[in-house]
Amino acid sequence: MRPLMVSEVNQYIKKLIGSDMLLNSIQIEGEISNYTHHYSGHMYFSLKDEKSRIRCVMFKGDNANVDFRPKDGAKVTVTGSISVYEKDGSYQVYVRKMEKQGIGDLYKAFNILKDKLQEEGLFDPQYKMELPAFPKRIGVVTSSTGAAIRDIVSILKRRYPPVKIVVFPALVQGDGAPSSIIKGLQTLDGMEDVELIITGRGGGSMEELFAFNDEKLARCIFNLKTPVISAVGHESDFTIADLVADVRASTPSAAAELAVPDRETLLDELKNVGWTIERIVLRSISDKRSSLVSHGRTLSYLNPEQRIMDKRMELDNALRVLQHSMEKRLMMEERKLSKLGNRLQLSNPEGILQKGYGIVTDHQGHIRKSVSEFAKDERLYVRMKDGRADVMVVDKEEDKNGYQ
Amino acid sequence: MDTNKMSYEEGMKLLTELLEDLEKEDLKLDETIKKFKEAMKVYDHCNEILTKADGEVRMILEKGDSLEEVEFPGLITEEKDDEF
Repeated sequence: MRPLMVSEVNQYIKKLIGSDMLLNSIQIEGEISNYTHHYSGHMYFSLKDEKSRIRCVMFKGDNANVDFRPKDGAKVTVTGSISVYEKDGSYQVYVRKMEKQGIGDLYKAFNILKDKLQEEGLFDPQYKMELPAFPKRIGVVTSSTGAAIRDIVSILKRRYPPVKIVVFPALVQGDGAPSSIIKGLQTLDGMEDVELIITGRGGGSMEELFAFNDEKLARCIFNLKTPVISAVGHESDFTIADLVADVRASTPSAAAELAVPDRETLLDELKNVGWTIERIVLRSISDKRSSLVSHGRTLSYLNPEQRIMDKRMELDNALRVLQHSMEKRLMMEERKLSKLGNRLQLSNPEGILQKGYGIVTDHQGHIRKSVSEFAKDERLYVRMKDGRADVMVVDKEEDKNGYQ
Repeated sequence: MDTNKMSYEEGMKLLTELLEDLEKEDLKLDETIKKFKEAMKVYDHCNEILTKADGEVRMILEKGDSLEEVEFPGLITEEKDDEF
């Protein structure tokens, strides 16, 4: 067998290592040393324990997701693969993920506790208390500094000004945090008028939220007689406190929104109902009034007194018509009479005589009106205004066409 | 039920019921008046609940072993990054 070239050996080893399942995806715990963050963006360091060390590289694309600043001495867990750098004949870890050590333990502990409490029923929906719609007084357990308390108080006050608030300032981080929060919760729970408790803090890393994953705190929340809203500012992950609380809010602000109704909305709603009632009642009364008026009209139409009045008026009218026609008739008769009088006047023979005419009569006094009634040599009388003359008909001649 | 002891929700529920009653066309006038008066009483009560004076904000201070309730000193606006 011929001797191999150096590069061939390195290539062979690389292939060998590359085909190993374990080495292709491996987790290694260790302490960082010789850490450099190269200007290219890649990280170069070694991981070591008491006995040994291994070289590591983490490329720019991968190390963007590291949520802490690595430094020498830090204990970390890396995930990646081992491969050979052919040029040097060295092997190294190509790190894809790096976590601070302890996080994994925390996470493990979290899951164990979660499973345990779940089994015990602490998260069971049947134990969740309903939030009061109008809590008279709200207890808040959180840090007295920072955005959480500010957001909670200002939103509670903005939405529902009448609400009373009592704040219990607590440590929300560090070893003393769970017992501090527990003391706050129990104190507020013991206050007669506190009807709802909000506890939480602004968001943070898993370590920072650690206090809210405490078992004693979980049991305390479970045993409170007052409903609790947990408001640990972390959108994605749930803490144990979130799971055991009666209601979980994603942020302190959201907790405040859940805790009280919006007064303006309620006032609008109330006013609307009030107006509607008023309108309905006014309409109903006005409907009743107009139906009363129309009934009244019908009644008065049917009233006998009214009918008598009507009849009387009819009678009066008839009388008036009668009187009028009588008067008219009378006037007509009068006119007729005076005409007649005039005519009579005209036919009064005295009138004729006064005008100088004469009247011819026979000896018996009968008026002779026509020449044809005359006989020759007949004796007649002519009556004039101042006396009578005896005359004799000498001759007579009749006009052919009467008097013209 | 005594109107003055009603909660807001109870009041709103009663108001809605009264509204439905009042909408019935065959309701007698004295019933209308009676229900209207009741509705106005409930309305005033609900309104009172919503518009009562601003509630106070208190804070509990630990003094050694005892606790003391004091006025809330106002909203602290200082933000410390490591606090949250």
